[in-house]
Amino acid sequence: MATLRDIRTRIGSVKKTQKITSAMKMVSTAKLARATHAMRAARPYAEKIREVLAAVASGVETDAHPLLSARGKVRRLDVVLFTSDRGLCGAYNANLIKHAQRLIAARRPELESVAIVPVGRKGGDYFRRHSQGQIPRAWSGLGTVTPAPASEIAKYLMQRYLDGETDEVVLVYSKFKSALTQTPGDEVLIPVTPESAAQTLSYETEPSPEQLLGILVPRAVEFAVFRALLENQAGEHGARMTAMESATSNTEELVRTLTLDYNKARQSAITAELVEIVGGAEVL
Amino acid sequence: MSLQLSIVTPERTLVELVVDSVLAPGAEGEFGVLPAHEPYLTVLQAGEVRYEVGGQSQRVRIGGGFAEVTQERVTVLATSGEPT
Repeated sequence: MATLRDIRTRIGSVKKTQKITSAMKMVSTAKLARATHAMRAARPYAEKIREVLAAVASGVETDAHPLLSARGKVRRLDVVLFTSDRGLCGAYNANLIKHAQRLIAARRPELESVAIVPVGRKGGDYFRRHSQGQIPRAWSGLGTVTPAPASEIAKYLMQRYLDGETDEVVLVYSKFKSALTQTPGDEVLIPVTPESAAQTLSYETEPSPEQLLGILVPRAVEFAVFRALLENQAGEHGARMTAMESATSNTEELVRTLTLDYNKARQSAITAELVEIVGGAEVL
Repeated sequence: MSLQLSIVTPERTLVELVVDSVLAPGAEGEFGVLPAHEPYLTVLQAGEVRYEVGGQSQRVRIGGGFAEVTQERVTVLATSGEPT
């Protein structure tokens, strides 16, 4: 049986943990709000670039741009795995890593090699320990998402594709549904498949459609990476918020049971003392 | 007939309003757009997009991008930008 003092210290330490978890929850809530705002702000651009790309691509042959034409047989696959840099966000990173592994396992039979490009420290750490493919390059510590690192990552991936080091680039990232649900998902980054144009407006273009495509397609790829980063950022904060929320309620529960134990121990100490006094009085 | 102008960047929407005319820095020189312009797609250089609303001229600085012009809309997809 723990002594009164032991239980008291324990309650104190649990309460301190609770302060930390509830503070982290509030920080994540604020960051989540900012991240979802950034995601919403990117939406008009997303819709527009998709439309414009579809409109331009519908007018030209698919092999007009090297990033548009799929390789007949995919032998080498690049998996870009987006994770967070920090932990304490529940199963968020574990789910993403699991998703990537499942994807690799499913496609492994038809492939010669797989390269993993981790964006975010957690994914990099994991795949460096459990080697399942080479890691040609890794990014981490990007902080708040801005377009610049997204472009850098996208340029690197496009270069790999153009150099023939990979035949397909797949992004694995967390699709943000709500603060409570983030589901890991994947999408093909390169080759780019433009949607079929909704309306066939015959645009006057300058420069020629082919040249325009040459500028438009890389922009679309850079933006796709940027959007994945945004969704991942929002997902991370959402996951951390939920994790810290449940951690906080767990500490509340723990404090309740410990207080109960403490009172029981105190009560029995008093009873024991009373019995002694009564026993002593009877002797007299 | 009116002309709807939207200037969007990956980070935010800079302009979303009805204007009288637009001047944009096209890759092959600045071009002007009035309502009922024929459909036009072009690359933009870094520079200033100017537009007129009720006789007043406004400017937005952009860091390159694309412009899509239809009869009643001008959409500027800027890689970056800020109002001046």
